[in-house]
Amino acid sequence: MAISLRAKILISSLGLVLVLLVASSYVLNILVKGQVRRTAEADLRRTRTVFDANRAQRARHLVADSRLLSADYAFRSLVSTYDPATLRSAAQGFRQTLGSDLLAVTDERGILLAWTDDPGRAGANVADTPWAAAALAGDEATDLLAEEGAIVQLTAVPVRPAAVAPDVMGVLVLGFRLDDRVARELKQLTDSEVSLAVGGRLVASTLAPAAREALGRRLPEVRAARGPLDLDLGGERFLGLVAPLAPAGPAAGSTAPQGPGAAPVAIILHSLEPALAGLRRLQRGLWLVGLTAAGLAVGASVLISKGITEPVRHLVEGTRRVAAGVYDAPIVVRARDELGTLAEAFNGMMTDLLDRERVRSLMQKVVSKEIAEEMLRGPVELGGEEREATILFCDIRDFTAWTEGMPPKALVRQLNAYLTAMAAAIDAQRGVVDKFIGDAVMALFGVPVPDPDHPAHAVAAAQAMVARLDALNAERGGAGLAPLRMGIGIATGTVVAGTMGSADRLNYTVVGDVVNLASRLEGLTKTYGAPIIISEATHARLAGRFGTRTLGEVEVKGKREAVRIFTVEPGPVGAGRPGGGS
Amino acid sequence: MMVRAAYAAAVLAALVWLSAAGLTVVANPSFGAAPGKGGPAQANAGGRLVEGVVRDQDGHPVVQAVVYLPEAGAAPRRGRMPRQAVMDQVARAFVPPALVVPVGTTVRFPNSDAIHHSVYSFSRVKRFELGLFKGQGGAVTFDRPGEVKIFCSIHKTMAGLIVVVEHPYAAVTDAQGRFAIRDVPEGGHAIRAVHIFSVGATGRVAVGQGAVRADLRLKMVPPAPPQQDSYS
Repeated sequence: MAISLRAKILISSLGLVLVLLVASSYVLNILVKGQVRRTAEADLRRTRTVFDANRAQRARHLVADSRLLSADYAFRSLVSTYDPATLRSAAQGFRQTLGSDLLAVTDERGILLAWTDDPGRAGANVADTPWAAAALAGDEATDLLAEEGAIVQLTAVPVRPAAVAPDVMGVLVLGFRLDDRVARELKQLTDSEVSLAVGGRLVASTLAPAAREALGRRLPEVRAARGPLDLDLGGERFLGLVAPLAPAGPAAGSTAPQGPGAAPVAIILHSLEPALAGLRRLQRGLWLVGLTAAGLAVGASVLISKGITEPVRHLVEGTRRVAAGVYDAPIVVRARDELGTLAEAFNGMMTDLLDRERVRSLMQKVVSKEIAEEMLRGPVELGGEEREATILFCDIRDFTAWTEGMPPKALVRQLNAYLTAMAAAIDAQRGVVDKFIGDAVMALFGVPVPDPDHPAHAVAAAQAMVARLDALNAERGGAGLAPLRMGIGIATGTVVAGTMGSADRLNYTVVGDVVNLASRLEGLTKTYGAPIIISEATHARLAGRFGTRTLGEVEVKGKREAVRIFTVEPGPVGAGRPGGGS
Repeated sequence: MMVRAAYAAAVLAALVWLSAAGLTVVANPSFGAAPGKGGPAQANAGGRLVEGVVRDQDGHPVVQAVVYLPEAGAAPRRGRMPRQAVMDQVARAFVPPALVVPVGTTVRFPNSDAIHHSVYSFSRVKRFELGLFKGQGGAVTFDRPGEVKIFCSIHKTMAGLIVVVEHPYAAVTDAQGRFAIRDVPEGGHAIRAVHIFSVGATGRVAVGQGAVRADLRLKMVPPAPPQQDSYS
């Protein structure tokens, strides 16, 4: 199945654009997704850092507030009452003033005097908790409390009766709750979703309710993950990081649940949707551009293929015309490229062919067809070659008397009718009319086209000429014109054949004694009263195929001995025709 | 004024006696014999002496530490004088910085400086706040045994220590950190040292006939640098 050039160009250019498009789309997808993931991971780490820094800062503020409050004379005085009811009532005021979520006070033994979240705790002994133990020993401590579904970051500082006193008269505890508010603040800072979990329970989250619920269900699996994890929550894709929460500051130990699956953690999630939406927009843009390019490629390949196939079609048509022999219809190609050059060359070739054809047809009129072909075959050179040929001379008897008083037009008409008939007879026997000399005809056999049986063909032609003249005379008799009589001389021998003349004007002809002999034999026809006289050499090549009769011997110029001459009986042409006469 | 002069005289007498004795031995006037009237004789008579040196964490002797037997229980009173003592404030310091008084003693806190002081204690034994004052100041009666640390709410560096005891077995260390407690009942005792800049330390001592050595070590919290103000 043949595929047209146009289709090939179209398919290849379209294919190229589409392959490029798909490849760039694929590469873009890989690169952007990788970048999105790296950016998201960086965001997650930053969020974690920010969260830790934020908690550390809050813890420092808490410590500073605790120091200030614990050094306050009125507060010390208040603690020294060791009166739970008084402390409870005062603690709420201090807590509000400081803006903290929790304020608690113990006495010097670690027994709770006040706990703003839960007044019922007063009287409980917390001396064994790491933070209380540290504070009772005179140190500052931080801890994460994870209880009742809340994570509280707390600091504990000792309360002393005076700055210089080494004695600890109680412990002041300040805390802030890590809840939805903290998570929201963090989200505002970092644009990441923040959730906090203790054990199997979410205690805070910035996620939308559906996603929050989904995360809650998958909490054990999420907590177990090492490194960044991919999550699909409520149809939204996230990259997540689980960060264990440590007390932000000096910790003597922790009261929070420990170990995997229990310890308080921050689950930081970064939604991949905005970035992926950006990728999708990018992909759409790429495809838009790519398909536009494909369309342009189609258009361009149509134009290009048209620019190629159109001239090619013209060239094909031109070639076909040339093959049909029509040379005078140059093809029209406007292109200035290689095809234009080709078309120009083609047109040039056509012009050459046309010129040659003109020359050929003209030559065929002026000279015989065979000579014209011979001359057109290759470069025409001066010079010739020795060939064996048979020369035929034919002349109208009493031409001068015949033409006397005849109008020129009638003369030419009658002469042409005669010469045409003679030429036809010569042609029929592979002869070539060398030239017309007035009423005389000189014909060649065996040159330029080699013909091994040229003497017989020449004799056959002579017989045909006589027969044709008889037919012509019958017509002339009908027209009231006098009959014509002619003589034919035929001689065979070696001649020099070739194009002869000046450089400007050439003739293909033959020269040699044989030509003179043939002319002389033609002249002898009057003397012997025979219409056809052939030379001895011609006669020798007939091999008895024609009826001949010896006329005698004649002196020939250039020959020491006399040459015998013969006449040919005007027998039926067909009986003596050699070679079928084609 | 008369009362104040009497107290001053008593304190001075005690100081003179103490320096003469070379040992910071407090035989309280309220317990047993009055100073200078047979204290040394009594101390030597029993021979049940607990003595030693109080040193800090670096091995330096601790001055003005109170050493006593916290679990010795109540001893019968040997006198009926109303118990009174004075802790003066001189050049932004309590004078003396450490006092041992029997239960029921009323301690006066006069202010000898030209500026206000505000004496308080948040101790469990005796909680009091005298407020800002100059001159005479208030008096506080200590009716429960125990350690009372006393501060001034406007001068960070001021700190004093009063140990309220219900027996005579107590002493304040001298310039070399030495102490001696006499007439201690035979048997095992807890022995405790405390200082205004330490939370104190408790050890045990077995007391028999003759002298028993009991060195004590206190972890001292370095006092804050002196408060800077225009007072001179």
